[in-house]
Amino acid sequence: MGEGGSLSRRGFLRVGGAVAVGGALHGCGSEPETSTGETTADEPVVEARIQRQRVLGRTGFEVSDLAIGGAFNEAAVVRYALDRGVNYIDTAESYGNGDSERKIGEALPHFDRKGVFVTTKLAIEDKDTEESIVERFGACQERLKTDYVDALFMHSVSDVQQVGNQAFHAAVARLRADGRVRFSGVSSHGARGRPGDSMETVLCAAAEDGRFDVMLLSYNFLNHEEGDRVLAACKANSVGTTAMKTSPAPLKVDPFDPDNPSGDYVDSMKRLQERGLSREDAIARIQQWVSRTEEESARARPFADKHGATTDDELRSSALKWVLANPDVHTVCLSLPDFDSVDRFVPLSGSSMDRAAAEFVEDFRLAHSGLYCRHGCTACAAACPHGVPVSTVMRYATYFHHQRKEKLAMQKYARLGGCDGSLCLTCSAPCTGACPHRFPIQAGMVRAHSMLALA
Amino acid sequence: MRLTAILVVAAVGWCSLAGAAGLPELQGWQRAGEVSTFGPDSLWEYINGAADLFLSYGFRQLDVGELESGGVRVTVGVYDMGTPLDAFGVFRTEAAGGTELPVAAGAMVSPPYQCLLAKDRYYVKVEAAEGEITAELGKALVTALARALPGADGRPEAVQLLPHDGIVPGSVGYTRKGFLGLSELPPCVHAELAGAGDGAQVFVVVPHQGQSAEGAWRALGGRWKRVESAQHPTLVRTVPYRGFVGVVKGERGILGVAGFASQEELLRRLEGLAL
Repeated sequence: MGEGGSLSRRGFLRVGGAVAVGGALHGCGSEPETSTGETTADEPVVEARIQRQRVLGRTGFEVSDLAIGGAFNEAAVVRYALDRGVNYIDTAESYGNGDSERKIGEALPHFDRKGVFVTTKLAIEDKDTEESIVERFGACQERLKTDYVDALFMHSVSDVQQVGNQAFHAAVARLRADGRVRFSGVSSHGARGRPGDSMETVLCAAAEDGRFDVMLLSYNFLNHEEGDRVLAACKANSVGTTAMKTSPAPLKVDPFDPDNPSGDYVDSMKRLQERGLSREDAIARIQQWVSRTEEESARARPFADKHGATTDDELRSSALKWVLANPDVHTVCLSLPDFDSVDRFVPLSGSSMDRAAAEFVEDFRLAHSGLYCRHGCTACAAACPHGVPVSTVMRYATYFHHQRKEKLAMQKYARLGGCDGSLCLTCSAPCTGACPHRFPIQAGMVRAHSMLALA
Repeated sequence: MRLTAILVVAAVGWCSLAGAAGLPELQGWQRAGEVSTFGPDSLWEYINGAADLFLSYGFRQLDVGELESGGVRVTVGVYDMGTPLDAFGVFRTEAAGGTELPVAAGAMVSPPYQCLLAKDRYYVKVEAAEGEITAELGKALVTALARALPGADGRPEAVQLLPHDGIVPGSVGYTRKGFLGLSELPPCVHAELAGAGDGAQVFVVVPHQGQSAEGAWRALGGRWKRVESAQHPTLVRTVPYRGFVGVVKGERGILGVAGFASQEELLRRLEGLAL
């Protein structure tokens, strides 16, 4: 699969699935049969390979744009991905209590070690010493069955003070001198609801620290502002970047019938009642979750329909392409638990988004961010003392910002004859809260005015 | 699920279960600090990417807190995995490479830092926060924890479906998703086959969440090849780097073997299973 080209929107969204189906059946349906039904155990047919590599910051290593990470059940799946050109592996001491590292260790001997960038992570606490870190790393190395690890990460840092942890830096210096570690890194999601620092605070500090060579950050089109700042800091300091958590929320949620629950709802009902909730309370709890998720999905549905994405997999593929299109993200870490997953995602290597696809994900992002004014909606009209046509103004802002039709947008705006966002600048905003979709009306109108007004 | 309070009869009299906290109380150990609880939506906050394994096995709730005794402080995490088989599956994954003790469904002590236990639907992970867990202390801890936790001792029933003979001791496991790297395989209990070469395994499909054995068979039939010459209904395919895998439908359900270089050897093994 190449970049851009004449692939239609519907086509590009579906092609990953089509290749995956073909790939998953390899070694079975395509083999010749004898009269007794026997087949031969051929080596797998390699259908898709990594198409693009990027330089991982100052490490100088050319990494595949897709990486494999997380927990691994099967060494054969790791080997399968590496055979398709994936050459960056992410794991951690804690994944499967070391079992993930063991699986990688089973796959690695089949490859030229210098051609694979292997990383692992240690969660560092204040009580850790240089000795304890070196000892723990030794156990990782043993499980990975390698003479060296390309990058040792500080795992999931949520306190910016940890960036300067002396024991870690001393351990890394010793391990580097011994030739057992080549580079170091930091991974962070931020504090995520617990006391601590944001991902941006941690990783920007780490990038500027000077002692770290690679960062692992959470990055997707729904919440990319923070990630963009981290990427900028990494770029300024020649630090390599790996992205994780690239998938957004689901497009739809299964319906819930409390009198006849099905699928996971059966388990959820049972579990909630086992914890002491009455049947009615369990139903209410599930209905709340369903309602919340349906609301988010409903915001996305018009855009998904408009752009031809009908499944979560298609949306996931689009989200991944969005990240892959950013040259400042050197590799994207994916959890690939089975052969089908590898077949599905490797074809997306080298892809980038065409303009329409980029607009789709931006639309989706706005829908989820509560910043989308629905075209033609007049729900807030009664609240405006000046009769300003809010959704019309916001439509013009969309022409300007998303469709790059700046001249047209400004011309149309000018024809409103002053009954526009200028009236919102000093208004007391009785429209606040009038939008049933939580769009911040005054803020949106002021922004639109600054964009569309001639002076 | 909250661990319910259990009154321990005097004859056993070693441990009691804390009701609301969900963390066992062990004689000779003091609770240090609060107990934290995590569900499927929040487990990531506690163990980051390691949560994937637990979530893939249907994780329900984690209660975690610290106990201390005689200069040793340990963090005890009680994972409610929902079913004995899921707890066993997580335990076998996390205990890989260690020496197992015959406690409850399985236990392992890794001095000086860690011990693990599977008991009924619970998987327990104990890690040293201060001091060391010696072999003796670890064994006492897992034994006490196994007594404190509710539910049945012994391995999950589904493990009994595996053939009794010809299995490498200590190799029994349970994989809920993607056994052999195959997304179409339902959950399987499995073990290494003795004397059959590297990578040879036997497994039994354990239909999950209302799926029938017939439904599982039909799903496999859509992707695997039917062997018409076999005496019993048989499906085969190849697995990258692993050779042939095949399943046979018998009275005990769907049984399979994997890791054979030739289909002939594979079919011979399968016929032996089906009898």
